[in-house]
Amino acid sequence: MPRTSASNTPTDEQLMIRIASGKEPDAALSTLYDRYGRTVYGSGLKLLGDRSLAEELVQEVFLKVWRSSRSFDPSRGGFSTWLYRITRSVAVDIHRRRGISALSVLYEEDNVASIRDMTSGPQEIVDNSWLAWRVSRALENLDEPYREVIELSYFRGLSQREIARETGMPLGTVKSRTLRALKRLRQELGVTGASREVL
Amino acid sequence: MDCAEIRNDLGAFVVGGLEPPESAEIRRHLKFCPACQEEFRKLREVKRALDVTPQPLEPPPHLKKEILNRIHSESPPVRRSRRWFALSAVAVALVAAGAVLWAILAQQATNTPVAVVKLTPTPHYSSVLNERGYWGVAKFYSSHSGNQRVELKLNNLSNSRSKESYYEMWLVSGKDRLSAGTFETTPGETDVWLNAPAESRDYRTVLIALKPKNEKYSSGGKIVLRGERR
Repeated sequence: MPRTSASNTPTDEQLMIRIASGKEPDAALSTLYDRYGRTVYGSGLKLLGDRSLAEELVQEVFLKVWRSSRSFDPSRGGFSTWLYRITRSVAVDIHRRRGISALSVLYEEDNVASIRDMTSGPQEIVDNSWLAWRVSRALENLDEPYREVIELSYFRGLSQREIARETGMPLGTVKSRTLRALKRLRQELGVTGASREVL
Repeated sequence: MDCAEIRNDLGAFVVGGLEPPESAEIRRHLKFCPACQEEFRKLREVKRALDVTPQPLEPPPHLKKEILNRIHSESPPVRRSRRWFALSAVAVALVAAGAVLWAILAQQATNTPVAVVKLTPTPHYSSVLNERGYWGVAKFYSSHSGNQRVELKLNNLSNSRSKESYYEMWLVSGKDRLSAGTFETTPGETDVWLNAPAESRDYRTVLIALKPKNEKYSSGGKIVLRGERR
């Protein structure tokens, strides 16, 4: 679900204020979960490489959001960035708790992902985990038809013809929608300013 | 195919969704068309960003419910905040009562435990732990941040370092509970420091739970030790 500031839809930051001030805090947390649950879960799978650990991470992250709501300061950065930091910190904590002592040298926060990918250097891992977060958010912010073609074509590896068969869309529409989806993704990443250095 | 047709297919080409003959035609076109090459370069950068991105997957449906259940079992932030303000008011009153008294309290806050709680095995674990020669206490110290620092001294709780489980300390008041953190034990004496939130000051029951590492986090674990703060 896109993060939006449309008149009737509260922004992430407004939802955090609701949690901190006790104005329907459960509903506010529920909405944030709907917006970010997939991103946090996907990051958990990528960083921890295990569904059970990723579920544990999701729970801990959102409990931290709840417990730390009063420490969130929107003037110091957006909610997404704050949540990313929490997610990475919890991932490191889960590794520590699991006591994988042979990998203790990697427990430095910046290196957590290298537990899964020993071929990457620390800086590359940090860059990739932050980039992955931003792309994941950009995907969530895409309109559903565009997100759908990216998921089917890129993540599920379907050919354009297969997508046309599966969705009933004309082949030409699938192709043009794929193109527009990639352009919008690029635009979304550019708008956030988060990935200009990459794109 | 002209440039317009090529460009319409470029997105599909970048994600590898075209049939081999279509891809071959685009490759041929790109070799001699700088404008389309530039368009291709931009799209390929997006594809590279996707390469490091995890596949969007819905978390299991039960997770959200479990999270909402857990926050219901905790004091909501606003209530905690009210309690904190209440504690602050008490602190201000104490300061007003006299600088000498405050100095004494401050001295006690940093050096002397404000409570020492004996932690005894729960019935299910009493036999094995008593045989092992277990004893343990939790020492509570106040800190300038308002949190409580807790020193756990646990002897012979475990006779080996477990790779399958860890412990969590809970402070309980009625149906509310707050975690003071997790820890692992070492054979013989375990001495760990945990940090409990300020509002846990009113939570009188101390529980030490054993939690398997491969279990879902939603579980509170098996209660191994218990103590009451007086």
